[in-house]
Amino acid sequence: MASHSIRNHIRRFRFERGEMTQQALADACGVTRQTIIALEANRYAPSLELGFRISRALQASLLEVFEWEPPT
Amino acid sequence: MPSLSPRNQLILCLVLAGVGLVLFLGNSYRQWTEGLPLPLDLLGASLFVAAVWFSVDAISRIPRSEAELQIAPQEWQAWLGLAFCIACLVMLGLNAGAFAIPEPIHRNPDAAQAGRQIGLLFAAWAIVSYLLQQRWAGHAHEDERDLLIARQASGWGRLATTLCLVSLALLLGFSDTDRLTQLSYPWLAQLILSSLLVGAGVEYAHAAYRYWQDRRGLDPS
Repeated sequence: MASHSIRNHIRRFRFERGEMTQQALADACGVTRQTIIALEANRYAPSLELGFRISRALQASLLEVFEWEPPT
Repeated sequence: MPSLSPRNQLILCLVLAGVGLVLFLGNSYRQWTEGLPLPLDLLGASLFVAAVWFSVDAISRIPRSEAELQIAPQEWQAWLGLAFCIACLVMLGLNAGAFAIPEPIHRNPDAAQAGRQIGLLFAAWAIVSYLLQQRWAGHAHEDERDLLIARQASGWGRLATTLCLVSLALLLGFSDTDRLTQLSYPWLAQLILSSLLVGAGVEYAHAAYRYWQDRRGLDPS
């Protein structure tokens, strides 16, 4: 899975929310820890639903957690 | 095994699982077992399953390394499925001669024994797969990323199965009649089963390869 034009700040938000672990975030969103690892490394672009679930778990808005960089 | 540390218990269980596999796979090729009243293949399969059961218990108690935590539950399943598909294909290949005899399997002792071993191998696969899933009890086993990889892998599996079955159809369609009369129905059944196993094996191999690529951060395109 290649790097995507959708970037995210999941790692930063995890540390700002009391150093939430990857496993805790994965459990809160109903995904595997490996998917959180892939997301943080920008190797996977989540579905809109998963994006909302992650944002809710991190107590932030979708646009705060994710950003889209138009291809140049 | 309460007195052993989890790591030593795991090593012992893996050795016992290996002994079980040797008993299970090698039973029909040894002459010295003929006089024994023990069904060594069944004992081997039982030993293998029991050893795997205790291995999983030991694995769940060994602290996981960071490298191991990188591997998704479905990647474990993919590698396991690939290993069992290869094992089943090897079993079918080793017993190809037993299926060539034009007798129904239940009237051919060699083919019946091979069929029973392959059946036990499938049962062991199902048990090990179930035990592996228990390692992630309470956590998600599969998510949308796994489904994406599974969908891509299933395409490759379908292609491999189609190619195998088309090859089989061409083989049957273009063979001379006198050669076709030498083929037995159990042998054809074994070829069809092998085609399905090749398809499943390619699917597992592609999924495992994609997970491995993803972990290494490689671009598959």
